[in-house]
Amino acid sequence: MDFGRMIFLWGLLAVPLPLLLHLFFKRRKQRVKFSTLLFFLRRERYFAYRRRLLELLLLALRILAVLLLVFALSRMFFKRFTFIAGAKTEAVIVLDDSMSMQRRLASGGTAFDMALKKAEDILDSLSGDDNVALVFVSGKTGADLTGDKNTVLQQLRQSSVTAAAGSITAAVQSAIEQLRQAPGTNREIYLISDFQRTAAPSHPIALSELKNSRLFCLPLRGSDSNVSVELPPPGLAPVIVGRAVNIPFKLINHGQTDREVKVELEVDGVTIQSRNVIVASESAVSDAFSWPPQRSGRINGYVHIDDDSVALDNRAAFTCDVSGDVRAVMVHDGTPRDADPFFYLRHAIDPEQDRHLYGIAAITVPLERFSAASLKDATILFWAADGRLSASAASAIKEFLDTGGTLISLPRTPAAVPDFNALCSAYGFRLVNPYRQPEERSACGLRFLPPLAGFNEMLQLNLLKWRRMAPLNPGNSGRVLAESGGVALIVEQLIGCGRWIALGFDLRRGCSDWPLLKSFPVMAVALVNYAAGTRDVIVNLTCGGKMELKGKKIAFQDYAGHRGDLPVVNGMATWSETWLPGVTTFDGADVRAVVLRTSAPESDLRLADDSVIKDSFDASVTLLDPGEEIAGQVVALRQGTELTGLLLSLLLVVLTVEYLLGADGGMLRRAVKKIFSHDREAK
Amino acid sequence: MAGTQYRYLPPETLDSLKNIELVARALVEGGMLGLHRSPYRGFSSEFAEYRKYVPGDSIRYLDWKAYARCDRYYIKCFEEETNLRSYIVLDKSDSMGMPDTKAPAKFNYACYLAAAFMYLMHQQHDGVGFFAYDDDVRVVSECRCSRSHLIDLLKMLENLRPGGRSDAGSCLKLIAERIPKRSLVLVFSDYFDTDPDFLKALDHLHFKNCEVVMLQVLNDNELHFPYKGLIEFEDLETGDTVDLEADSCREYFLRSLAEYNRRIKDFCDCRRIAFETLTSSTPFERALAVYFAKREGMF
Repeated sequence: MDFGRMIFLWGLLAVPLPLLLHLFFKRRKQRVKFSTLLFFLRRERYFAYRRRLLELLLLALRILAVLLLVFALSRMFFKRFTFIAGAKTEAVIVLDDSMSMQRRLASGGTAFDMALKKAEDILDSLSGDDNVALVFVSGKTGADLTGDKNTVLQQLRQSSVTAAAGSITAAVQSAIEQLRQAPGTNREIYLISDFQRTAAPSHPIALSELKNSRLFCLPLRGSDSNVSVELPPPGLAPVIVGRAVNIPFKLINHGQTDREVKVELEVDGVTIQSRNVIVASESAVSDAFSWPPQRSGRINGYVHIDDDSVALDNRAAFTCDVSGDVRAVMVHDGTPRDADPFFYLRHAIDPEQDRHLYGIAAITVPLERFSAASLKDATILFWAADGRLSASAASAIKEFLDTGGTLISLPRTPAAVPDFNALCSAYGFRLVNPYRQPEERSACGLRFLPPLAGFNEMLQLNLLKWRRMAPLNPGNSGRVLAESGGVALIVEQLIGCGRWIALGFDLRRGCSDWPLLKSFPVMAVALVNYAAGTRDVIVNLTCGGKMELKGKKIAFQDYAGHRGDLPVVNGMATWSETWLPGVTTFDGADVRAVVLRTSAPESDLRLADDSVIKDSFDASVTLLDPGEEIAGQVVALRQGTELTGLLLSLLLVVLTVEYLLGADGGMLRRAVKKIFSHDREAK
Repeated sequence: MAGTQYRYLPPETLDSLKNIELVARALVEGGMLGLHRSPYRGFSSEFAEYRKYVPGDSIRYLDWKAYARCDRYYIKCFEEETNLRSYIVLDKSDSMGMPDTKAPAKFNYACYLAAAFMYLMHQQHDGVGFFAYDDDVRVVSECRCSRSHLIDLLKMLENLRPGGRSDAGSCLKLIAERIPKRSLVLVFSDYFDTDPDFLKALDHLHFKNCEVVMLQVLNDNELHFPYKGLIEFEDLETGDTVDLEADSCREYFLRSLAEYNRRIKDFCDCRRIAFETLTSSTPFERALAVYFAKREGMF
């Protein structure tokens, strides 16, 4: 409560006046001895207590009338919160720039466009001495509290919707933290959001601790109709030129009506295929494009849908390294103790040397002829040489691993161990027993672990019998791909951009009967494909997330073609510019490419109710009407509602009631009667 | 009498009553001859009718002239004048003692009236009896016409004070049992009784062919209810109190009183009982005159 003319509050001294008059003119009760009460007892309505009640009511009405008159003259205001006029106001605008803000409003624009306009209105409502800050829900850097509103205005105008989900809780807490340290007396938080149901805070945000603070929420309501497209993670198989690759996609209709959507496959900026797909309301449809790449190298593409609502989730990106045939170089020392160590493997993965039936070209190279040239266009290097590594060979292998190649080593004599240990040391990595001679050991079965575990059921690998094996120790950084009876037999270790896969067994009958089994060629091809795949160097990341990259000098190129270098500190760099979906490629990092995907919940545009909004905070929330001018609403709320009209109306009602109830006792009625009686007498 | 002052029979009252005769509406039996007609044919000076002689009649009353004219025996009948047995019944309950600033209290007024009737009846050589009751019959005086009895009655009236709660129903029943047939009964009361069936006691008198005159004595305050403002009314008989807004309930009170009296009046009319309301502010001798004028009109 506040008063515009405090001087009239002196009128409150007149409040006891009706009481004094009541006491002064109070009629004394006269006692009369009467012959009988026979004629009184039947009607209670004449009893004096009713009269006394009426008099008390009239007294209350008269006191109320004086109060109403005084308050009306004092221009009483009602304020929903304490706002100290003239004091400095610290305001934080929390702007929701998540993907759902791209929803369409009835006016035709997007919710984010409206949010920007309203944010500018809020800036206009602040006076010159006030400070203002800008916080984005997505987590993008905003503006700290400043008196320079132009800075905030510029930042607002440069902002755009991100594909990140963000967190309203985190954004409001950031605003609270800024206000807590601010010296201003009046503290205001303006939360402009579409208040998407999936983004509602799970627990009430603690706002009550912040003294003299007000939270204004501006809900921007719009259509919740939306169709989004998602791509599942890429498969394991290498993408080879001329061989069809499946691009599966999923269409999700979040709206209440069925939709027919045009879906297009776009590769390198060219639409390759398109089709129309009907998606029922609140359901999903999975489908796939089949497309043979026509060139080798990195290919970026999109699955694009035609939808009027949120634009950012209309496009899902993918990337892949397309190669020619997988080139597997098999190195042995030329003087094998027991014939060709790759005999069975070669026939398994490349049975017809000219046709490369499985897209794999197996090339055998003796150790003495091994050089860097041997690894040209090679994808996989099989190593089964007992001899020592020459410096040039070690350098070639190192470069091969740096550029993303995969080394698959078979167990050999201890003579070569120091050389490989040195190779490991070059990467700051040590694989325990990566290269040792197999020992006699009887065992049964082989069990593959993820991601190759799917082969176990199909291939009956439990029939396999071991005679010799070289148990491997994955250490802390290795990953076991296959084991037998708890003994690791295939271990993978990431090195640079490449991988080293160590086998704890020979691919000959001396170690096991596996080369004679039908499962061997299947598994050999699968393992080669796995080794040739680029999955581990292409990462899927949700927009708004951050990523740690390793490398000495890291350059990036984003989906829009922008190039730049990431600052590297101690061999690590943080990449956080992940606001929009697409593919970003890196040079010199342990990750070659990152596919940025939209946050799936952001495509669900259903809105939270006002009650949910209010329940999201532990303090009172003032909901602003986006249809009205924000500055006007805020100023009115700060000033409060003037109650003079209401008070005068109430006064009129009170006087009318007093007149009607008063009968002969009514002050007003008596006065009116007196005036009229004077008139009559005068006539 | 002339040398004695009685509270309820002042000399001016005696002067005003000098020429008033009390005539009962019905013939009553009486042991003494007086001015009242008797239902029995007697032998006084006023001729009534002829009737045929039957053996056993005294030949003293044979009309010889009629015998000479028509050769038949006729007996001359005269109206027999008897003494009237009258009873004064006075309600002495507390309600009768309701004070009045401008006029005598109801009780006093009723006593004045009773004394006046006693005197008149004595003057006519009629017997006068007296009863006073509240919740029981407190005073009983049998009917006599001697002068000393009149003096006793007047002293009795002087010594009476209002008090007690009224139980008219049972008291009038008791009194009716003691009153002989064909008596004149004058009942002075305000008739404010909580028992609505108290009037049924009057049936006993009616069955005895008594002439009953009910005189309701009220004061101006009861009749006009002039009170204003907040009043605490105290019931004189029960002591109960009630706070009332006098202005608001005046109309209701008067209407209720009129309705109450109308019901009594209806009851009385059915039984040929006279009912009259008198106010204590009216000069009681004038009230008597008005009453007798009204009564004379009935004969």
